[in-house]
Amino acid sequence: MEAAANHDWDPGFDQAFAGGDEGALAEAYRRLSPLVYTLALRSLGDRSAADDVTQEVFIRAWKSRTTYRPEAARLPAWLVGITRNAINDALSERARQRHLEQAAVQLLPEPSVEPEEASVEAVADRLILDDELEHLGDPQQSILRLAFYDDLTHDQISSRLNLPLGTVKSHIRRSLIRLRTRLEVEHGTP
Amino acid sequence: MEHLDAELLSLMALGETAGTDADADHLANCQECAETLRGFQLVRDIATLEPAGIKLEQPGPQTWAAIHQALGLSPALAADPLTRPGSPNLRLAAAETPPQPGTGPDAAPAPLRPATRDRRRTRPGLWLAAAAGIILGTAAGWTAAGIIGQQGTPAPGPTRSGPTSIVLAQTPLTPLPAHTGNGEAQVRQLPDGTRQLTIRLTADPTTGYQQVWVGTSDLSGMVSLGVLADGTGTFTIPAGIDLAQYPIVDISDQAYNGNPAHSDDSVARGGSTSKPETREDAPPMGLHTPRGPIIG
Repeated sequence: MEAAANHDWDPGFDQAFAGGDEGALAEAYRRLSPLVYTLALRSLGDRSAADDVTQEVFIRAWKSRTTYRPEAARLPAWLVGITRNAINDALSERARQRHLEQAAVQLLPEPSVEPEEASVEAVADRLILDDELEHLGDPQQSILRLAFYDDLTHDQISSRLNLPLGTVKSHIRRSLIRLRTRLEVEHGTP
Repeated sequence: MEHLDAELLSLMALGETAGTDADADHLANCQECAETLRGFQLVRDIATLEPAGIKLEQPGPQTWAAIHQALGLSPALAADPLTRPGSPNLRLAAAETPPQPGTGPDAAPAPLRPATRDRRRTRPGLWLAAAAGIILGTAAGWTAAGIIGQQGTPAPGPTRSGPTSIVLAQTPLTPLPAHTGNGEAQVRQLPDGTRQLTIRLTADPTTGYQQVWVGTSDLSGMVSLGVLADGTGTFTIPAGIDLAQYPIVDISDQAYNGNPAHSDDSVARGGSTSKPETREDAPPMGLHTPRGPIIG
């Protein structure tokens, strides 16, 4: 577990960001701009538009930092949400422009861009689920972690955590529903 | 025929052998149940996604320059954070895009205040793996495997190796009025089943000594776990304490008067989550941040 400790996302970054520490913004950019940029690139298909979205996301995030609540969401999950909004805005704007111009001058995706959208979206979704999982509380969180990452059956979890079988099963069901709902909300229409 | 129970579908999604032949038949013929199962499986797949192999690209240096200018950030932060000295992406970034004048990697990065916090702390779990692999690794155009492989051991999250301890809960500690101390509390379960509460708290104008408590959500019941010295400490949680019943972590300022009761003067407090519960079918949230004052 020591392996990646130095790369940990310190909750202090969240707090520092909310508190207006510009260094935290730079750190967030260093760690997350590739994900933001790649999400935008896969959706919009051109680098210049992806650069614009990346700019927009971090500018928007910094300007709304006073409304960011670290206790409600980790910064990466929050930024993924802003990114998806910004991408949707860019797509809407593009559609509007196209409609106005009545022209088929839609830029084609650059050939160098590989269609990896799905996997990058999954990475973003994982950040969202990580965040939701952190907020599940105990014992739901530990139950799901044992099921997901230690491959324990509900029987084994029940004995490990000393909880009744029915409780474990019920927590698994409710937690999965909650995580599924979070994903649905995340991908819902803005 | 009745639909399959969501509990059964949950266990199936997690890969457990569950259900009868009749259940399997139903599943094969029922779109609704199959849909529910797929939804659960998607959650499992994404939550256990192995980030290795998924490559990210990075924005050019003009992007940070534009952000820096638009927000009027400190000149000390002018350098593109993606090319910060010491980060492994330096060469790659330089090769892909010519550096802009004045934004070279020479510029000193501004110190990040939270860096003074304990960076050695291990916080295993999903986040760590994600942050380590995806964020840092791919910022360099590397995959998660590249970075984690460098460290010699696999990431704790997505791998299936047995953990040495499990983080059961974690919460920021936020100061109460008239106090400044803040930090973090974490509950871990050791392989032998023992649960430990680790506290880290920054300096606070405490007049007496600091005592660590876990409390019920309405703070009507408080259990003392010990005295906190120098802002850090690890405390064993008695086996009889159900954390669902005692979801609050509280640090008090105790006078040197021999009174063992809580002083009613709390320095900082946290609950493992403060996310408001909105779904009706969601589990009862045992862990939340109380807003009211301590009532004896």
